Formats: sequence, C-alpha cells, structure tokens
Amino acid sequence: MAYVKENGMAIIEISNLHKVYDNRKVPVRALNGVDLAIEEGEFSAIVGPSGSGKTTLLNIVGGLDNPTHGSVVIEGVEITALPSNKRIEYRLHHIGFVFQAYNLIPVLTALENVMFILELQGRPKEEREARGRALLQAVGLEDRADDRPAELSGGQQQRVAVARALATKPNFILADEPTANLDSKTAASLLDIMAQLNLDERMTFLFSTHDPRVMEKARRIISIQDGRVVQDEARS
Amino acid sequence: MLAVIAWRNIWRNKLRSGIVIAAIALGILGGLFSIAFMEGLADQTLKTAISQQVSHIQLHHPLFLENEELKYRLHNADGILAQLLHRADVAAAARRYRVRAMASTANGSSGIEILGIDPENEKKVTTVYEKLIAGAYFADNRRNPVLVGAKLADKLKVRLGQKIVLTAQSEEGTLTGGAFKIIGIFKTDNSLFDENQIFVDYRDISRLLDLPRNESHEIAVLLKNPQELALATQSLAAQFPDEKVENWREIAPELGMLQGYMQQMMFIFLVIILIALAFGIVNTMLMAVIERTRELGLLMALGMSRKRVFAMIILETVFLSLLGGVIGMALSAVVIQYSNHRGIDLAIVGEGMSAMGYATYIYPRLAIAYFAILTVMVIVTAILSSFFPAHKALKLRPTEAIRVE
Repeated sequence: MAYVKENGMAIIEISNLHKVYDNRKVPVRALNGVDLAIEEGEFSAIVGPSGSGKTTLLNIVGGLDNPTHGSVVIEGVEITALPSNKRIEYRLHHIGFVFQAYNLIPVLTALENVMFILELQGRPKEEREARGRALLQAVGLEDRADDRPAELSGGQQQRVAVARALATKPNFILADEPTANLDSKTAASLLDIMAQLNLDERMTFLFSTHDPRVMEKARRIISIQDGRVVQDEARS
Repeated sequence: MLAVIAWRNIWRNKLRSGIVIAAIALGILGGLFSIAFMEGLADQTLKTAISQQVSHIQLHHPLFLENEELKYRLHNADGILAQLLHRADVAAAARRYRVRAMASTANGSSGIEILGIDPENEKKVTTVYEKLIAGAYFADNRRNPVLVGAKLADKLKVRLGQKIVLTAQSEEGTLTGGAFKIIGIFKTDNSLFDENQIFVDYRDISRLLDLPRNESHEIAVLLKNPQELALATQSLAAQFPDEKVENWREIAPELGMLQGYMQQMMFIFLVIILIALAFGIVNTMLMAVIERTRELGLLMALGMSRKRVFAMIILETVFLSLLGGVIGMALSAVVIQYSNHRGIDLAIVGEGMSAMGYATYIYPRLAIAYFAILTVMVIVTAILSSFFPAHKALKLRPTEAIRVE
C-alpha cells in the first residue's frame, strides 16, 4: 500500500535532497533527489542495502551533515540553512538520537548520561534527576541507574540511549540501526519500549535499518536505493 | 557536570595521567628547589659578607675609598661612635684602621690589608671571632697580637704562636715594620678574605704607624633592622654631613648584583620549567583528544556546544596541572624546609665556591610568594597549552560519532 499523506502537519519536510561526497578519489553520490514528509507520531523505517544512503539521509535530517543541494525543514525551521552553532542548539532542544553503537558517555553512570543532556539544556538539578529516573524506569533500568556503560549489556546500554534521546522531549527521534548490535530477544524488547513510547506519547520515530524486526514493527517503510526513494508504503 | 566529566576523563588512563602529574610535580620540585638553592646561596653569601666584612653601613672620610690613603681619616671617630651607639636603630658600631701592608715570614711574603680593630666592639659587628680554627680572639694582653686567615697562614707557612712581620708605609711615606704574633687563625667561607685580611688591635697599628688613637678610617655600623637600610643610610648621612655614609649596596655593589643575577637565573629556570610543562600538556591532551574523536563528536551530535567541548578540554588540563602543581609544591615545601633546616654542605666544590667569595654552606629558602606565583603560572601555562588540543577537538565533525567502524 503506497503511503498516503494524512491530514496532520508534517514535522519533517525533505525537499529535493542531494548529497555528493566529492572529497574522495571518485565523487560518491549518496543522495540523489530525496523528497519526503514525516508526520507527527509516525513510527517509520528507512530501509535499503548498505551504501544506499540511509545514514546520510538521517545525518542530514538530524543536522549532523550538510546536503549538497535541497532542504530539510523541521516544524517550519530550515535546519539545513542554520549555521553550525545554531544547528547544535537546535539538535539539543528538538532532536533525539539513538545510535547503532549506543554512544553513551563512558565516564558517566546510566542516570548521569540521561541527566547530562538535560544539564546542557540548563534544567535544574531536581528536574534532571526526576526525569532521568522516570525515563530509566520507563526503559526498565531503574535498578541500574548508578552503573556505568561498561557495566551494562549492549541491550541495556541501548535502552539508556533511548532514555537519553527522550529526555529533552524532542520533536522526534532519529535511530540509526538501533538494533544492529543486539540479539533477537533484546532487540524485540527495545522495539517494544519504543513502540509503546510512540503510542503513549505520540513520539515520532524515524529509523534507518535493514533489520527485519524493525521493519515488522514500523508502520511506514521508506525504501531507498542509490540515493533515491524507490518505495514508500504504509503498513497496518 | 562538565567538571565531573572532565575529572573522570583524567582517570580513564590512569598511567598516562599519573606520568603527566608526576612530570609536572617533579618539574616544579626541581625548579623550586633550584630557585631556593640559589636564593639560599645569594642570601648566605650576602649574610657572610655583611657579618664578616662590610656590615650594613660604613662611614669614611669622603676621599678614603678612592685610594685608601692613610691620611683620609675620620677625625672625630670617638665622637661619631658615641653618637652612633646612642641611636635607636643602631645595634652596634666599630672603628677600624685599614692599612695596605706586606706580611712577611722567612718563607715568603704576601700583600694584605690590615684591619686595626677594637676587639670588643668588632665582636658585636662582625663574626670573625666565631670562625677561629686555632687560638683565641685577642684573649691575652700580649703585645702585637694578630689574627690571620688559614689561607694566608698556609701561604706564608706559619703556625699559631709564630711571628709575622707587617710592613706598611707611614703617612709621611717611610716604610715601617713590626713583628706580630699569631694568636688566632680564622677560616671563613671566603678564601679570598682569608688570604687578604688580617686583624690587629687598632692601638697597635696606631702605635706602629703613628696614627692618632681617637681617629679611624672606617666605622662599621650594624643595624637592628636590616630592612631599614635605605632609611638609616639617609638619616646617618644627614647626621654626619662631613663624612661619607654608604650602605653595603653601595660599598659592595657586586653583592646586590649577585641577588639580581640570582633573580634572573630564577626567571630562566621558571621559563624552562613552564616550557617543558607546556610541551608535556600539549602532547598529553592531544593524545586524549585524538583518542576520543568519536566521543567528542558524539557530545556535539547530542547538542553540546563547541564552547562547552572547548571548556571541557581546558578543564581536564587545569585539573591535571593543578594536581601536579599542588603535589609538586607540597613536595618542594617539604624538601626546601628540610634542607633549610639541615643546610647543604658544598664541601666537595667548596674550595672553588669560596675562592669566588660564595658561601659553602647553603640553607635553601624560598618566599611563599614564589609558590603562589608559580601556581598561577602553572595554571596559566596549562590553559594556554591546552588551547591547541582543545581547538583541534572543535574541528571534529559530529558525523564521526555515528559512523560505525
């Protein structure tokens, strides 16, 4: 079933996005004219083979990289036009990230990792701690709050990463291959947590993945190949 | 939390941080101890010179110091002495005749300077009486006693109790000589002094050269408070306008220069320490930044501003250098205090040192201010040298963080 835009407002509007890596011997065309709209509350997956442009697309949407051409507008703000410092600021307040390699800060405990991002936002300590603990509880890790990442399993670390991504109450969460390093059971449990958050809080999730377990849960599958969207379908 | 992260980051590589901290601490210890040693050397040399030779202030006939002619005397030496001893800022004062002469024995002769002193008063001003290695300090009333330095005694091959002949030119130009009996041999830290100066009773030299007993060439003054040197010099110059009043800085400018020289050496030492420190810190922090490329990129990806990343690297550097600095300064304080208490005997190189007029027993000391100055300088150097690695960190791209190797 082809994806049909609902009546809701698109929170992410991607227009004619091109990305060419020309700092290599042979220029690589990673994105070749991508147009997409992501609406609030979506639980969508960008899928495609390795090198298809998934991660590049996610990086540009998250303001981590610049497009060669085209634009990304998030709730009326053209993030691709913002200067570097403003983009960092924008990411801090509006976008949550979950990475394949968890990327927790190794010297901080699970709770501190979640609280850290709230501190960057300048939130008071009581609020940071209360929200940090609540989120760890939501991902089932309240009893591991004082453990450092090295003391947690991969799945537990990724749950902390999800809690961290949610901490700032972002507009949406970008998750780049979040289950790639997890076993089936852990991946399923993590996906359940994210799906529940999506339902309960209408949190928008945009995954880049080639994990069939994620695709199974996703309600929209955007297939990308050679830097173009080749299929975009809604699932019931 | 930035400070917490910075602090914990330091301890991620305990060995590396430990080595840097030890290097900073040992560098500071080496530097501060060298400075304290030089301060002690300058201080001791100055103290020795003041206590054995020049005192704080000297009064002369205005022309005496130009060529030390016998005729340029303080004509009212007794009166001046009495007035000096009445002053509240004067601890002691002593008269001296100073006469260039030849000391001879059967074994040879040597050019020397006779100091014709009042033994009792001289004891209050200079400490030569403490430096006797043989004999006694003008203890008996024998005629023509003399104290000679060990170096001169060796040179003239004379021993305690033997006689030397002192020959000098009288005011009229005739050569006059007299036999003096060695009643004491002194040995100071300054072998030049020991070779060139001899002490006789001023009454004996005045009789030998027909000099008035109530006059002198020099009056040496010891102050109660050496810090008031300039003020006391001014005041004495006003009180005795006909005489030349000079303090040790004017009489022996080389002593003042020694202090200046030591201060310059201290500055050079400090610069060397700080440069070594800077290179150590740049190297360590650069490694820390390169190792954590991914993590620093992640922090920026999450929304940590470049300013904060920069501040975090600087904070890590400040913590490292503060730790090294505090340990180094504590170690220095202990070592300097201990060596100040015990003193350092430079017996091995003492001969060369004392031939140049330096003290051979050193009590290293360092003003608290130097510790404070060095603390500030270490931190400032650390911050400055962390700019390069911190700047390097800012050039990282956040996409590095989410790229999976």
